[in-house]
Amino acid sequence: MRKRRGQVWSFDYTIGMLLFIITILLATSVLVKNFFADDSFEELHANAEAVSEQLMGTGYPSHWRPGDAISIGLITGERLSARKVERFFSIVQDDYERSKALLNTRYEYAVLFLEPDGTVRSFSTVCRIGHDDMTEQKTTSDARRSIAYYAPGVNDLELMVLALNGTVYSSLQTLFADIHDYDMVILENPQLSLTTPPYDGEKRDALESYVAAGGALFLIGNVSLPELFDMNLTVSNTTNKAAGSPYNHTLLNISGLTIQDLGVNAYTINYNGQLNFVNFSILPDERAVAASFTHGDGDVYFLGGLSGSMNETSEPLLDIIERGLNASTSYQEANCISIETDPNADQYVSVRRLVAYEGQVFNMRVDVWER
Amino acid sequence: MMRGQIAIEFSFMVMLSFIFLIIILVIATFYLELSSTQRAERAVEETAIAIQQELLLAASVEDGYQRVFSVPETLEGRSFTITNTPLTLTLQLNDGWTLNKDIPLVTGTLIKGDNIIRKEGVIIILN
Repeated sequence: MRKRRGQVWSFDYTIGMLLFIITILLATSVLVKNFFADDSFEELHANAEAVSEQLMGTGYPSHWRPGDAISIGLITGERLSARKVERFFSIVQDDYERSKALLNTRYEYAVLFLEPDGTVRSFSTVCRIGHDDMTEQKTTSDARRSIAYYAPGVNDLELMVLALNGTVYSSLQTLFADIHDYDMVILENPQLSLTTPPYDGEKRDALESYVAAGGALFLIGNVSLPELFDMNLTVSNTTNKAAGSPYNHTLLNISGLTIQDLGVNAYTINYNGQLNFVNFSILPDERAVAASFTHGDGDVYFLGGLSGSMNETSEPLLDIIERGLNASTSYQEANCISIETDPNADQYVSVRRLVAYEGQVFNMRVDVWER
Repeated sequence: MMRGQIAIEFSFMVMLSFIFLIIILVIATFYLELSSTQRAERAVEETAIAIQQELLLAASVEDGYQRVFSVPETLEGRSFTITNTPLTLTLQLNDGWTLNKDIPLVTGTLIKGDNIIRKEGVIIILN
């Protein structure tokens, strides 16, 4: 009897304790859920909107480079900038986490561009920019950047440009009318101030706005338009030798070599406040015969003359330039077939924005997700 | 003998329920602490982004711009420190968690409370 009473008591107690534990668990669950209010999707969505809005701006600085970007934006002059897209991709390739910090997101993300028919548009070989765990299928093919060439006098590069499927212009006005169709413009001894029309201000505006929008301008020899990029060019009449500087670049690939026999008509450029100014080859008096600098989204290359050769290798300067032009204008182009989302994505938000590029309107799709 | 057995069972049950209770409390405290820490870190992130946006806005507008913006004394009930160099903003929670953000070139120092931001030429001046 006593035994039964004890068992009954234990049974009651067990039931009571189970109810107590269940109540505690429920209370804890409510309490924890209250603190973990499930607004994660709203946060994700808000962040996707913020990232896409940021990308629709210019970024900071307005013509940012991978090294100096504080905020990433892909627009220049109300249009999508292919140069900024390339630079954005470069940052992601180097350091994806840095790109997340620059976009102020803690989530994973990917950015892609869609044609009006919904197919993915590539920039070079890039089908999407962002997290690695999106799988993409694409085919690639060789392509060539478009070149325009103008040389009113001796045209040393004409055959070279034609071999690279470039276009040779005999009129500056015609070139300026088409200038935004080209990735690179080469002006060899253009003597710009001697040609009217267009007038000097128009020439400066045409060339500066072309470069600011992302074009590459290669100036050779006698430019004779001091107001263009505020370049301070002078004829080299003291020496015909230049020392190479330790800097690599595909276009002016004269690193570590000494140019000789430049001739008395070679021009030199002095730094005059240009952004990211780099000397490639300097004379003993520190003036540069080969240099590059940036303006807006684009780049300007200057070479004082074409008649030299390399002291160390005896290779003509023209051959160096040919190799550089060939390398810097050839690229791989992707045909993006399909892009799959991250299989580990937990919550997923996709935001689309319209962007103008090359006379068309694209959808920029920003995918943001949590893993 | 039977009474003793019941007393042992009772003690065992009480002990067991306390152990359960303690385990539940530990788990709940852990999650609440985690939640609190996460919310504080998010608040720091949001504050840093807001300050960065203020500075980016100032950098992109004309000379003569002036605005007052406020930095809270605490974030989610936690104290934090705010410091800056000419190109970096740093927010640090009292538990040592730190967030750095690149900012446009500024002169002056950010403080908690009201900050006056103004632009003179191309220079952004704080306070």
